[in-house]
Amino acid sequence: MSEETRVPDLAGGIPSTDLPEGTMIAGTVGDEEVLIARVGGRLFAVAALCTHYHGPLVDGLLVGETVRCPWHHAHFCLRTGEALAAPATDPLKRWAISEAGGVIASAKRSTRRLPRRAARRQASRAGWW
Amino acid sequence: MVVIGGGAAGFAAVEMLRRKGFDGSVTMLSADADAPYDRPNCSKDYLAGDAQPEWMPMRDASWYADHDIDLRLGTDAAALDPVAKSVTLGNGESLDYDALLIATGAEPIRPPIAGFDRPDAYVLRSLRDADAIIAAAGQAKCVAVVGASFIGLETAAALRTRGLEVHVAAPEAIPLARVMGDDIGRWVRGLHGQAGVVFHLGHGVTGWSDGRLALDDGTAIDADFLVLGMGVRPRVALAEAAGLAVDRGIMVDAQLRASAPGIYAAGDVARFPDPHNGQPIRIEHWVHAGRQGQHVARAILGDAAPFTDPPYFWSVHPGAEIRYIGHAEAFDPPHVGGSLAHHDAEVAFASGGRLLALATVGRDRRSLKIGVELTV
Repeated sequence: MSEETRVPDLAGGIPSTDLPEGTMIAGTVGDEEVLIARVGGRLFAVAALCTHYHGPLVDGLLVGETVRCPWHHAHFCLRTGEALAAPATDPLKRWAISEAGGVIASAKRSTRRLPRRAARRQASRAGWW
Repeated sequence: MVVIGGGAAGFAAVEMLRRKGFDGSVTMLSADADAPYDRPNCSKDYLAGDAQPEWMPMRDASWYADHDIDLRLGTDAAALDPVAKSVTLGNGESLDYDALLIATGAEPIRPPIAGFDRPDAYVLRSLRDADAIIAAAGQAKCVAVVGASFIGLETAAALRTRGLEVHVAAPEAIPLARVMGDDIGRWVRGLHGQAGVVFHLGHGVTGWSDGRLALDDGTAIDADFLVLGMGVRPRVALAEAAGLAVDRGIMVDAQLRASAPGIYAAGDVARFPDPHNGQPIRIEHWVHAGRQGQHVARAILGDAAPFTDPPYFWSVHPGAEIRYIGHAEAFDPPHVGGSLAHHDAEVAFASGGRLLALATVGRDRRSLKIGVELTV
């Protein structure tokens, strides 16, 4: 992000009009960087940095319900956070997002799920495979 | 499932298989001494001393066991029997497979030039190769790099960062011109020149001995050691001996299937049909190899889609990165849009009016957009 851009506090909320259809914005929730996007009328909130080399996804490209990293072209699913295409393999963390009264706000997800790798590790220890 | 190769394609395949719930056995044979790591970094920040060793592994060591992946390092496959569907290791052990991925990659070329087989003539492919060069650099003042390839130039820049005097000798007049055109080539040469790299272009090399690299015009470069950046050749010996179709790479179809049942090839070793024209092509890029490995995983799980991702790579030069999307082996004289000097440019590679590839500097979103356009 360029230096003159003010990084919005997404926990505090931003005007709905700041996020038109087909756009994304990077901001913060607490001390973490979060990317929000509106695609097909639906809102998404995921970690703002690529899990490969921490490229700023907001400078990338929205393609359907995916975001592509500007640095090395990894693809992520906005819905699940999954790293769909190399060079990233780890998923993006997801955030809660809501829109009411002309304000969009993001927050930590209330139903905390284990990150996929940790869940897999537990599964393998439990003998699923 | 047996995977031969522990590079980008092999790693991406096993990671995607387990991610998608594949519950069969997975054995991964790697000739490398190290578990899969971030290979591009071996010629970039890691070689320059700007990346920590702990950043290099793709996964920590426990990940493989946790995911029931039998990773065997320092292990070569000695023979492949496509009829019996088995792979024999050097120690005589035999592994049966339902699906086999050959992702053996490529190996650096050491041309038959006097002295190029000496221990102080290094190549750069593996993490161990990078460590050997770093160790040599620690006791050296001056290095000569043979070849103005991407690896050669990245090595030159990294060793300049370490404070060495760096010479680059290559036969071409303009580095990278064959791949990127003259404009980018001249600009890249300038970037390295400003960083203190001394070029000896337009010269063949005739020998290396006693700290002297002899050039074909009778001059010589004095150096403490040599790095060869002279390209790679695909590791096809196993496939060839097994009778698979091989033509400067293992021939695969659009689903990345080789010429025998259950066998796939991916990454640097595979020659696959260009989705735009069906012509068999072989690509030596990290991201592309990972994509192909992931595609093989999906194919094994039943997805019959052809592989259509446009090739992508990035290359790091002093103060600038080049991104390249697409594939253009031959192209019309390319046009530079914007300004390379201002690190805000794009160079389109086209043939017969059709865009084949785009190189960008400082125009990341443009590269992504062209990637979408070039996806069949």
